[in-house]
Amino acid sequence: MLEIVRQQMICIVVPGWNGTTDLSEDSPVSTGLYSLFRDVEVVQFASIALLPARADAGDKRPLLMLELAIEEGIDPYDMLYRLVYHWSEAMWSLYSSFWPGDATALRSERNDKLHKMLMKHLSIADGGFIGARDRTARQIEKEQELLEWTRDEARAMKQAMLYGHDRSAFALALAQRAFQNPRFGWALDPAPRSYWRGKGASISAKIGYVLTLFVLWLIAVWLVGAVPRGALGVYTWLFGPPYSGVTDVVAFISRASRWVLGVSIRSVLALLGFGVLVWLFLIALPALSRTWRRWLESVGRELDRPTDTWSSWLTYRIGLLLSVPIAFALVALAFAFIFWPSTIVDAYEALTAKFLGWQIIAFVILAIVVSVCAVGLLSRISQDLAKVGNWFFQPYEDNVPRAQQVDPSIENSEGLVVRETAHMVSLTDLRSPNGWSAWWIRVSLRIVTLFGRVIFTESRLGSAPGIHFGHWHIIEDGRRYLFCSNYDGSFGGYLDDFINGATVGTNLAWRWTTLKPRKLAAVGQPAVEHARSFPPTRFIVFRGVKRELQFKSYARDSMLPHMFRFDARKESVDQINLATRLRDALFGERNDSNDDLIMRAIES
Amino acid sequence: MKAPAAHLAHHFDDIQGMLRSGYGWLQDSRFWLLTIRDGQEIPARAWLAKFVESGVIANANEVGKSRTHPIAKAAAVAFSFSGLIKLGCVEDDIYPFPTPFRSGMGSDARALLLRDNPRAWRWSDVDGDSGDAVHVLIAEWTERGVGPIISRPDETIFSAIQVDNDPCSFRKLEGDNEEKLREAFGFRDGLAQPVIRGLKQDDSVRPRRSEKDKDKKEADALYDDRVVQPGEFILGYRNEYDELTYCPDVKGWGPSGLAKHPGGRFALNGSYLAVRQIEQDVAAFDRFQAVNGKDICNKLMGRQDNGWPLAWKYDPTNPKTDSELDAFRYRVDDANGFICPKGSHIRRMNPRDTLGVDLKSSIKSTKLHRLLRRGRPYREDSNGETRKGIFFIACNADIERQFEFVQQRWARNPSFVNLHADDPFVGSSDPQTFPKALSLPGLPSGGEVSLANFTTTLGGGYFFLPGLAALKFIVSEEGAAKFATSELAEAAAP
Amino acid sequence: MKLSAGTPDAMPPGLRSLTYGIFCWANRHPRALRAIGAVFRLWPFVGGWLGMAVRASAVKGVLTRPNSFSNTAHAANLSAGDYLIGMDPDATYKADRLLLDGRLAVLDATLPAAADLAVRDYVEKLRPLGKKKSFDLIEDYLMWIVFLAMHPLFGEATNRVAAGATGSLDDPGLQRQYLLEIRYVAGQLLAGSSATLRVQRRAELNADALRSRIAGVGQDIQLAWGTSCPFGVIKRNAVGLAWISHPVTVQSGALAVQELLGRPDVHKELRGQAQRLLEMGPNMVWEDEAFRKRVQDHVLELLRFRPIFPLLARDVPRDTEFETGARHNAKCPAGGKMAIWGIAAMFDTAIDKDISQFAPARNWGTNEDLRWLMFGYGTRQCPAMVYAVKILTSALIGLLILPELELARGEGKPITYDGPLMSRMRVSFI
Repeated sequence: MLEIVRQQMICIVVPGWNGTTDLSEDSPVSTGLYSLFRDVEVVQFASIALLPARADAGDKRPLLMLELAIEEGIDPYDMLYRLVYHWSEAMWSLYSSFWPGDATALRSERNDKLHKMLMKHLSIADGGFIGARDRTARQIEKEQELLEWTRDEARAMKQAMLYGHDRSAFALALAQRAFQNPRFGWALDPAPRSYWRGKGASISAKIGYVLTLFVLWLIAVWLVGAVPRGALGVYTWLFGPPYSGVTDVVAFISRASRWVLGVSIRSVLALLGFGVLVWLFLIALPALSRTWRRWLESVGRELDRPTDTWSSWLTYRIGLLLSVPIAFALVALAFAFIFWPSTIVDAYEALTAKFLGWQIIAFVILAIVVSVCAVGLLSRISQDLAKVGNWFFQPYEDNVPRAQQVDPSIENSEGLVVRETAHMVSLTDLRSPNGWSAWWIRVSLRIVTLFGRVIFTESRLGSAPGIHFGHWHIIEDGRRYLFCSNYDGSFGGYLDDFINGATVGTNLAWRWTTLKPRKLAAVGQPAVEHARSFPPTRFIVFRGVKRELQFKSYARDSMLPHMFRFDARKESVDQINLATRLRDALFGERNDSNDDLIMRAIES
Repeated sequence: MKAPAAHLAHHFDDIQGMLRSGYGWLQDSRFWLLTIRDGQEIPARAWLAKFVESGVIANANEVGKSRTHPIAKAAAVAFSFSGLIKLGCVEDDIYPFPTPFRSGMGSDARALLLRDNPRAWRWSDVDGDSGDAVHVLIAEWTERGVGPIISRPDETIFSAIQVDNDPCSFRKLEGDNEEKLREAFGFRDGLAQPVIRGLKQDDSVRPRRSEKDKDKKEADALYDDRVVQPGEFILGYRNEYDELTYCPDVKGWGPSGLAKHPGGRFALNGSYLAVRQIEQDVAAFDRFQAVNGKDICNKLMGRQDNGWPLAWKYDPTNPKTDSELDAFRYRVDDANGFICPKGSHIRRMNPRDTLGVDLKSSIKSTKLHRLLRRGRPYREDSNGETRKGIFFIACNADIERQFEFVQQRWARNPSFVNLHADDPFVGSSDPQTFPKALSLPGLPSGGEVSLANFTTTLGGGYFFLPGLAALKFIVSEEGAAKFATSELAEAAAP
Repeated sequence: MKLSAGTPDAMPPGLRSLTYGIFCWANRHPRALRAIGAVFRLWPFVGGWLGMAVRASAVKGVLTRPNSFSNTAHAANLSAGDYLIGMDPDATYKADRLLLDGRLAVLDATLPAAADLAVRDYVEKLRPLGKKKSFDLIEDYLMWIVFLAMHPLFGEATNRVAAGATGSLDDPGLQRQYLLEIRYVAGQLLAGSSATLRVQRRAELNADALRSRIAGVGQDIQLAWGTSCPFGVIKRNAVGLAWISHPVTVQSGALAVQELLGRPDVHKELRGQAQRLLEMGPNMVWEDEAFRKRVQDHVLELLRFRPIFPLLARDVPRDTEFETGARHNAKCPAGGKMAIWGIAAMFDTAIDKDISQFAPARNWGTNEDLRWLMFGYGTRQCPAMVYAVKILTSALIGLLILPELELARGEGKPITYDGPLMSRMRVSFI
């Protein structure tokens, strides 16, 4: 399920670029690539950038990166096959300098060689998110035509004053005209959507899917035990008991199946238990008690606080002291419950043997009262402290050197596409130990990808809007980290959206990276002269990107300009969504909400 | 932990007064754009030093007391990056100025990023097609009829462009109890300013912060929407990210001992000004108004010409303060722009609570892009022709996140909130984009008007408005200049 | 014609792989399909409920009613665009069919001689391989023989089509690439809409490539065909002809050989006859008509056991019913689909009591037409089936005069599948 997203965004990073190929805007290579991607039709976005070599790399030549964002379901092998074997040979002209003086070989041999090399250096995204470009470029184009046609038609109808003041009559007339226009025959089918964005979009479908999988798993495990047991029973009934070996094996299988069943069910119960605790403390209690809510908010604020203050320092330290033992205890309890449930039962029996029921209840009540008092006291203290002195909340200087600096090449790249989809390429290093960082990043990215695929299906990642594609790659054997993204808006605004709308995901994706000094990849490209580090996080997901200045400087310094860029469509995410909604409204059932949607689409 | 950051309250006397107030009671204003002639750096510094010492540059403390001790005249001085260099300041290696300020609004990169094509500018902050870079911006405000503070800068030292205010811009119309600022098209100007936390504008509405107060007035309920952290406008303080705004430094500042705050950097208490001279084609707008009527014009602006929100019915018997006129939102009452079109000027420039996933996050994100406007309408009479416009000044602390973002993503983005044209007033003046369409949703079957080009930008620049101590450093002989000359001497030394 | 290429997966994750997995498994195990088919034949009303025609009479009935059971069911799987096989019999169909029949008629003159020539060439190439050295029956033998035998379809333009508009004519790699390209497009017809996204997308990619290839050499094709048809018509038919003719024949050949290798007795006996003819003279195997007839009977019988399309689908455009063979007719609601169990019909004991036996020499009598059921039936039967069988007959004769074959050992699985399709079949001489 994640593979389908990950292989939609691929990077081919070939080391040893000798820089002899002209990649300027009007060069034959660039124009060739451009028409290749246009012709192939399934490439949504492509870019080329030069990645400077690592400072400690043997080969000091830069790496050539080709980034491709392609349509859903295409295997990268097939995609590269199609590109490489295209009659125009545009891919060969891009990569031919890796085989200097080898132009005479048979075309098929060249293609095979190139295809093999590209596959070798291929990196499918370790994690990625797709906003509105789950649709094909062809669908986007057609729907955009429909949107524009509808607006023009509406303008003409308004001028003709045929439908005066009645919005629904106007919408109906528009729908009729669209329906009668043979150009839009394709729109009769509802807009195709992938499962999680279409039929499986409802929360019940999502829960249902998980439940179905779990039940199927239980049934399968049960069958593994029950079928041999049943067969043995029938055999014994018919012919008497078989060899003892057979009985033992069946008994073992049967026991193992029962054990797996028990563990599975108890794991789910433990998860549910955690869920209830989370719900209780983070949702139910805050709704009931204002004190608790404010206390929780202030803890969150202090953990996220970007500047150093005594309040935030203390909150973090106390939080560490309290939460780590509690978390350990909870996990230990859960494991005990899952794997050795009898220990809990024994402990409970020992307890009931010692104390009477009312004593236990009294103890629980006492514990609750004490903890409520403790929390109250803490919140009292924190509020009073605010009154006591400013020093507690007074920020301390935290100097970010060389902030708000942008390399001219990056600025130029951004300026050139200011009317289109913006694009960023960021290259950072993994924190050492690399293997450890890479493992954590992969796990985090899989989570981000899963959420992006299943939950955030409305073109927002968390609440960050405007993302077309965003993908992360761990490259060079886990040494470096590549992030490429297409988005609507400006770099700063994009990062603001991430800081405020997807704090957790962004911290997870970046916190195991750092930025080491490196030379420039080519003349006119940025170098990293001073190392930077990702802003420190607290409890893995807090703070980090909330330190805007440091985060933006980090991201800015890690960026590389693109040397070539192809974008199949220039529409913004909102426009793409609007056009799809309009299509479904025009050709869907005639009702008030569809009428209104049509009118609002032409009015926007 | 490192040293504690500066306390805003302790630094009022180092902050230039224009950050605290727009000097609404000083109705005459004048802007000087000075270019220091080559080789005239030392006299220029002396002239500026004399001007600074004359005490006309009000600080925030004086402005704060203006209710009891009114100021009769005030001035502000700001420098473009080339101006700072010209006057001998050398950027620090570790804390250099932000790239947008350094490259200047007039640079080619900014022309792309601000969507300023084509540009036919009379002046800018970089050397180029529009002539030599403007180095110094001086703004002065005086009571009506008092006359200018600066008669005329010395021609041998500076080449100067003078922008005079429009004497008719403060007018009292029916229902007003006092004269109010109106721009050339006749709309109230200067409304909906952000309120700096800890440095409030003199305003008649005081917030009632107590949550127990049940019968809050609407204005108070929405007061927090416009309260913005000081670091969004003044360098060195907490901003909306709860972080201290980045302060650049110059060489020699630390040793000069001028820093008011121990360890404070050069830019502390300063601000950046994004300045644009925007000419307004009043005749074109009047023609448009004659054809389409006043209501449509109000829809373009997003407010009634008297400053009232479109959704409110104007009631002359119940006058409202500027603050009260700012107490409205869109999300619930006008999500689709049926009342105030999504593409109207004020809704683009301040989308309030509309852009995020919910109300809270929307307001939070809008606060990251607020501008403190300090511009004034201007008038220019030449060859018997009167040209009007606005001399736009926006104070901000992060040019990229504030002015440039608003310009690039909101004002001049044709697909802002799914529209298909940019701002009706300050959108691109590229002839290819005309006639421009503005959608007016909610008319019986959807409305659209076709617009002409109402404004043209004549020039612009980024300026740094230093704190008063830093200002002294810039203009003093022994401060910046000494360092710069010693640098030069070092470079010249074998 | 596929309306929107690249439609995202609208099925919950896992379900598609599951159904496609079952589908592929069934295709690779015709015996299992036959067994299920036998059950349905016994109680045809069950198939009726499920919209399946299973008995020979039912299948015949359905396939002779093209107006009620429409070929448009294939349209969704024609990734390279509309073609005869997915059309309703309208004017376009008739015109296209005329054009196609004209092209196929050229083969009358050249087959089987052209196929024999190609086979003899490849036999000589393979003979020196010797024992234990494996080769791929598909890529090293069938693919090329069928390509050469079908040369007249595009005539003078064949090499241009294979090399592409800008490619060099003597680049065998480009020809191979062309043959793979059409295989993937044809694969989609077989795999159907249950195929995994990867398979569908690959077919679409290759279909795009094929269309662009044909568009590039359209002029050459027009010249070779000597027709004045509009360019669009030529393109449509050239694309269709390219992807359906070659891959389906190759795949059938591989299936026939697979079945043959699973029947050592039959294989041995047939080889024995070939050897005897060889002893009589070097060209006797090629010239002896009776032997050729016998081999052809074998090809048909082998394909009966392993048909390339064991199941066929039909659209039901309007409410109708069909005779299942049970007492009551089965209802077919409009908008639904029909499944036709060709594989079960060919084993219907109503045809012959011993139908389940492998008997190439069986006298089908009045049911001779059913013998070709794997190529469809009635008006929409494959118009090229005779030629395909002729080519496969030549190819099989070639294999019979080579040293005896077996599936290669010690190289992992000798047969690799690509979905329901066989993509590789490693064999070696004993």
